[in-house]
Amino acid sequence: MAYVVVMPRMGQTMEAGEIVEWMKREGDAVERGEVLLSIQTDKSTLDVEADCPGVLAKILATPEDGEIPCLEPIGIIAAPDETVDVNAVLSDFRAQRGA
Amino acid sequence: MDEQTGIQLLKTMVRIRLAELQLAIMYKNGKVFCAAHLYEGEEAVAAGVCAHLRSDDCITSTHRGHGHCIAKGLPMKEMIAEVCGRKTGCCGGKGGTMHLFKPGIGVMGTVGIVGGGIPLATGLGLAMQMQKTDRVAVSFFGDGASNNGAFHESINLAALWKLPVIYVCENNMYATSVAVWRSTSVPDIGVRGAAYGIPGITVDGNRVDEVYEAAAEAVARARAGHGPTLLECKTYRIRGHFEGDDSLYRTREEVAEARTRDPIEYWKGKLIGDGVIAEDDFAAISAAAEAEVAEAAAFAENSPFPEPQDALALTNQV
Repeated sequence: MAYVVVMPRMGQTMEAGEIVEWMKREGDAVERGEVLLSIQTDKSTLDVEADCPGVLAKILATPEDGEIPCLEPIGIIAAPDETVDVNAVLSDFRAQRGA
Repeated sequence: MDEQTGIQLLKTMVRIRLAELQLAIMYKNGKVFCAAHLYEGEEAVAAGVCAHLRSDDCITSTHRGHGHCIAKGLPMKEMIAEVCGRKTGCCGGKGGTMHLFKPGIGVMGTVGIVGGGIPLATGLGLAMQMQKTDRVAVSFFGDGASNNGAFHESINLAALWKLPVIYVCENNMYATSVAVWRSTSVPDIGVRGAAYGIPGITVDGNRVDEVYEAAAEAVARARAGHGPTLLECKTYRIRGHFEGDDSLYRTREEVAEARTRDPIEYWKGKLIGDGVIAEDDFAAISAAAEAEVAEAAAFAENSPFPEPQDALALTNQV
């Protein structure tokens, strides 16, 4: 089942962050706890680890996007053999979060 | 220790570890609304000490207290729900990570103030002595707290009055960003017991058997009315001080080296080496803990937040 990676909220006052670099490319296998990307907050640069194992199926945001609000989707992790419908995954994600 | 105790210690450590990793994920995904100070790498201290405690014994804890509470018997659901600010948490969702209380099982509070739990445990010990029970109180605190006045004043009184308190210093090498050698006058905090005429012991806090044996003696001494013990457990804080701490005050190599001394790996290896468990048993222990944590996380996420009219519930109203 596809898992949406979000811009993490790494502090109570953090509103947004910028992507510095993706360490993984689309199609790369990832382990839980492996570093996916690094982000920059108003205070520091931090590694973002994968919450679950799978394949980095889609990168939704890059350094060129500048500031991204916390908890906005930035990528999708899926099972190795899974076909990902990005729009469907994101609308499910937003529906669940709205609930 | 017998084999069942050894297995139980492993289970406790795995449950704590997986709960903390789950909370790390919940934190960054916006489901925890207060700071999160996680206990990864220090599990052997909580497990080894609390294994000797009865439900009528008490603990006081720190800002990094989820592990102590789990080891003392706080149900996983109530812990995670409380950290997530939900009504089903042990304090109705109003306490959060740094005010986890469950008096019925002796969880007398995680405390946000460094060293704040030490006088509380001392007072609990005084009450237990005045009530002529054989209950004991344990205070968990860090290396930074051992430089506070509250530490010295409390141990002085507890030693003088022979209170049934075990002072457990979790020396995880850092007080926030300050390395212990930068702030502390002695390499082994355990020696500070000598200043107050009580046993002061230093053990490898990543080895749950060492912690367990030392705590056995300290708890027996306290129950018998012979007074307090200072037990320093040397360990290492694997994660940052808080989630989102970039840890610029230490090197990645230092953290990687510390990971090679993982307390769960050590104890799992020992139990397998001694033929107490097999790899499959460890996988089953991990799977059971994973399921428990997932269930608790879902329970928390599906629980309501407290309502405004709940504000005064569970408070000590005059």
